[in-house]
Amino acid sequence: MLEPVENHNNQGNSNNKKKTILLVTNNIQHYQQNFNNYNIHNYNITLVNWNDILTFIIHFNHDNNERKNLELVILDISMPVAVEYTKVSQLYLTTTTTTTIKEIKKIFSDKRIFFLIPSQSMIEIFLSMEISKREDIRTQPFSVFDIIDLISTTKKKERLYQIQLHDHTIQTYSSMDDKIKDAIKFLKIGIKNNETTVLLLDKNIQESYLQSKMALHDIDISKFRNDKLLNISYSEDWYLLFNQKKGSNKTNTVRIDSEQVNIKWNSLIEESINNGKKGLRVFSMMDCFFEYGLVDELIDYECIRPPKLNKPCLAFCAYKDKHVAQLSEDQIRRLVLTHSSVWI
Amino acid sequence: MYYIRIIITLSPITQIQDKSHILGIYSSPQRKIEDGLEYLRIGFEERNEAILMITNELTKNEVRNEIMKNWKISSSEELANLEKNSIINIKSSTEIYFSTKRIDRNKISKQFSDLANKAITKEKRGLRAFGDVKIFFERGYGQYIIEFEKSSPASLDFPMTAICAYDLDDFDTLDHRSRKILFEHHNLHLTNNLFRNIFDDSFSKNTNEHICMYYENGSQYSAFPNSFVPSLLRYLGEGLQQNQFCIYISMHNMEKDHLKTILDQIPNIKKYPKNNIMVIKNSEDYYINAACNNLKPFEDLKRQIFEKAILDNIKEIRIVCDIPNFLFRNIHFDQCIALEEWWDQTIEELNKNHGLNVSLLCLYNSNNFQNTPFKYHRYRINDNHSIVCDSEGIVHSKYSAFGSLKDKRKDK
Repeated sequence: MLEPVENHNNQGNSNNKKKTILLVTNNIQHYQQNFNNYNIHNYNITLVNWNDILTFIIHFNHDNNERKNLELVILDISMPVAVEYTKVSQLYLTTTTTTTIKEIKKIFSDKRIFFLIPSQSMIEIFLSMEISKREDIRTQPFSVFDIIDLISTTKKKERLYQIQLHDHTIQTYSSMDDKIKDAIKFLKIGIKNNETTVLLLDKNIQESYLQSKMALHDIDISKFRNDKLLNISYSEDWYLLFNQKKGSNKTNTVRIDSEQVNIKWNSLIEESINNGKKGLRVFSMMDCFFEYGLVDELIDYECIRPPKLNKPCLAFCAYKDKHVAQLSEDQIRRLVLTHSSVWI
Repeated sequence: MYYIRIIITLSPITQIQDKSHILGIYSSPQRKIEDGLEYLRIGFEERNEAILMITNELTKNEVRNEIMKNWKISSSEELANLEKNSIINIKSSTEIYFSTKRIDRNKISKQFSDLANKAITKEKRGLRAFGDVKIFFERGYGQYIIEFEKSSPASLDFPMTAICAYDLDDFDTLDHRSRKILFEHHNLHLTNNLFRNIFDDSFSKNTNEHICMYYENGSQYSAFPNSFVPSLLRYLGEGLQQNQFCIYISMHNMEKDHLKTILDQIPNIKKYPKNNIMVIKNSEDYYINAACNNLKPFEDLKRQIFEKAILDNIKEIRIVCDIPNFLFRNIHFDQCIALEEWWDQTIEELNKNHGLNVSLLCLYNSNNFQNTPFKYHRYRINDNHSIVCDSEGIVHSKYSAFGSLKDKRKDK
């Protein structure tokens, strides 16, 4: 029988150097049986019963090493958490438990806490209880592989921070608010990176509205414009060429002015570099192409730009999810293949 | 009452879709002609298609004799009449491809579309063509045919169904890039008129492949799927048999009994040098780092592979990896693609710079691709592999729907 040759990366970690995953559950036996079948090299999984969690916390609070080694916390509320539990909208939560959860969140405020609930159908109910954010909820069945994924999720940088100059990114949105939030975050990252940001807006977003939203983040639009760090325009004005006066039959009068648009991009990139910036980052809201029936032209235009751009420019294409849902399989295929980061 | 479910494998050439652009690889010239004529016979007799045979292997009269022997044509007069009406077309490779001093791509394409249009006027469904491309290799134009194929879509845009017929000996001379172009520009891949399989001879000679194997696993995703175990064992077993260095990186390596179970099932495992196989036990570190955009563990692995190859004078390497599948399943799409791109570059780099032939088998659960947003990312996965196959190793077009995998094995 062949002896497997071990890969030696990260070997030799002694137990006390291992990071800890804390899983609070009323189903310890189930998890023990399950997890015992696996070797996880750099992590210990500590299982604690809901009834014992407060005692555990007292001990934990006195041990700096344990606190330091704790990687994340998982609260399993997919099983009854007390013998005499009350079903709150089919979630097994007692008043005592919700109080305990609040206590845990306070104690572990510096740690990422995930919630494990019985099924997908209960996510909305759970969210309405305002205990957790959507991205911190997981559902049964739950395995060792899910724990590994939670570790990576905890370590992973937020994706808007991952993209950089030369990337060509597509993201879909279901709400305008989310799109504006991301546009503002996109701008903030650009300012930090010393890159010029271009925001191309949908016509239904008033600049004054954007200004008020930015003010909430202490962003002074005019200051950043003066510093050549920000340029705001409307997508429609930037991309489209209107041959006649805009009439009721918009589709026959409009086209994408690819040549002019490229000239404008190149000149902005050059200007950005000349102004001592690292490059250009563009947040484009793409609704206008759909509103004017220019879907085929849009896909062709997108495909001119490769997944990795040659020039120091980051292109972020923000679509409405309902617009992407209208596209044919082939159009989606082309769109997906021409972007380096695809968040749809 | 008992219900018996029988799965039968139908011949691929009875199921070809109209306008298909097919890559055919043949183990011998004789096999090429036999299979080519059978493919054309089905078109002529069963599908009301006009046919075009292009080859230099036989003279036109020899082709006619073969047709008279095996097709439902009663007399040589009838055959002559069919030829006169362009229903049956027999051409030499020389006259189709090399009739001018310079190979004229537009002229060649026009000949095909003219014959296809003529077939329509004769109330045929279209043209079924078999094009023997051996002449390009004989005359030193191997690269030209690749460029020619590159200009043709995977599905043709006029009423013609065509097999581009390659001899295995010629196909073997093609580099990784050329073969990738051929796979991308044909929507069906056949070997001797059978669905091409990664375990065919044509694969074992060329190990520089980045293969995407889809398997079905209806049960809980954490359970190790049995559907691809025979292929996995065969893939590793064949590698060991050919004295290749084999590496197994699976998230399931975290399971205590998994490695023993897999290794024990490889036929004659005790016969092979024990250091010819490497298994990565701490696969979770690879996963966590890859999900966080850090491919350093993989870079370290590449270095280890390279050092091992130099030390043991090994030229051929086989790798099985399912980490991208887990990244994909957990919606780390960009990280999954980044890892696949890294593998692709690594295979090329090790080959170009160090003469190592690396074949990588990536395992994906096809059930993960059913819903939005997962299904959109299938195109990215397929695009990063040179070969897409099912759990039995049967090669599929990168553009075919997953349902078509089942179509090839009809339930009765």
